Amino acid sequence: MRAKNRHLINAIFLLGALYLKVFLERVFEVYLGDPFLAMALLVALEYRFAGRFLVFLAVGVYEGFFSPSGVLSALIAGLVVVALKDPLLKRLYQETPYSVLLVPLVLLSAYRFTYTILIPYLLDLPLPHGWTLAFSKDVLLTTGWVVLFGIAMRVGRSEALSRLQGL
Amino acid sequence: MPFFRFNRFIYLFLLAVGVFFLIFVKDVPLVSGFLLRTVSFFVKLPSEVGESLRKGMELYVGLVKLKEENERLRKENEALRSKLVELNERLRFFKALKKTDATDISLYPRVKARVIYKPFSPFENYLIVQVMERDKRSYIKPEMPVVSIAEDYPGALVGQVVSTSKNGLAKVLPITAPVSAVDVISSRSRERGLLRGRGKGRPCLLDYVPTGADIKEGDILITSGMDALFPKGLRVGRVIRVLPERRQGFFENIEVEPFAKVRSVEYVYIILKRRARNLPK
Repeated sequence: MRAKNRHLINAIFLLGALYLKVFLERVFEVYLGDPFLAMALLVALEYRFAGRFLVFLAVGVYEGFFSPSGVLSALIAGLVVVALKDPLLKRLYQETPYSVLLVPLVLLSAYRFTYTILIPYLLDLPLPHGWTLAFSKDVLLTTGWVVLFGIAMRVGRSEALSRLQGL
Repeated sequence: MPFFRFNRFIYLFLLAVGVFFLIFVKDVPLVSGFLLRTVSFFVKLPSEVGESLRKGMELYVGLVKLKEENERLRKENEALRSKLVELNERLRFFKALKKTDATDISLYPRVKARVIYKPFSPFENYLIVQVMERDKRSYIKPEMPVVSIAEDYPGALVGQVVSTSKNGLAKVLPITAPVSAVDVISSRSRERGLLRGRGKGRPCLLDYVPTGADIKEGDILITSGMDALFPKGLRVGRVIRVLPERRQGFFENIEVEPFAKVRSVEYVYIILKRRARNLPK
């Protein structure tokens, strides 16, 4: 029951992040990072193989729809993130605040670099003009969302779980 | 326990089949239509709520009358420019006595569509639009040109339809996307080039114009009709800069400001370039 609740809560979080991304873009008409990717990263890293695969597939379907790289590229980028996670956590001293920023920054940079730069380059797809600046801005803003969601999820999930168990 | 394993096997098999379809068969209309419907289902609601909120905020916070006046004048200006280009084109055609070449964009059948989602990330390219009249939803097909609306008159080129779904949704590739290319000519000098996107908010690049070609700042570019995608004579953009450095040693480096503002476009016309079935006479 507890695991099912966790899946349900994660699915709601993911959907909420997608709604937040679209809503903010439409209200302010500027790019404010990618809350959906930030949430997907947090959720995917919690799961094992099948769960991660499903989350990155959802991200791939969404991102592959709007960019020419496609679904497969998002899955490959997801694999890069998964492969990087364990060595990164093993080598970092987790007790300091900088690791809270550094881990998502490295993982997101790896994901975005693979998905938006490396794979389009290999597929001979053109990149937007000034992609370095766009890439840096994107990664920094999305890292901000990861940190924000990371904190919110810790508080929110324990609250939601206790309420669901009480029902 | 074996039953559980069997279930897991079926689950993984179905997942693999689904992934195969998504990755390798995504260009099949059925799959692309399904993807279009699925993504639109999730983005439509927050997009519409956000749009309403933004409009509401603008209405109360902004200088309402000035903005409306500005919008009206902009549309009027757009319509007049379209007319001017069209009249210039006609004049040119009549002067050259080549009546067979003459095209009139306003005579093309078209359907009105509303932009339901436009991503703002520099790495995301496509727009989602939905045809407003229900009975005309089946008319739209991939590769149809999409233009802005200027007082019920087709305005400037926005892009082209990439995929469609049965309920009138269409995925549109705007001309500002890096993977987009449009064959254009200068309405003044008739010099030809390939207009390529460089991302949102960036001027486009007019490529493959040989050194010394007669292209000046302020030249208006229209579709040439030679790429078999866009009909001849659609307004595309204005040359804003001819940079001194050459591209690949042979070609001019020319920047073009597209007329259609992809970031702010709300309604578009999809020009029914192909003869769709059941079109009204």
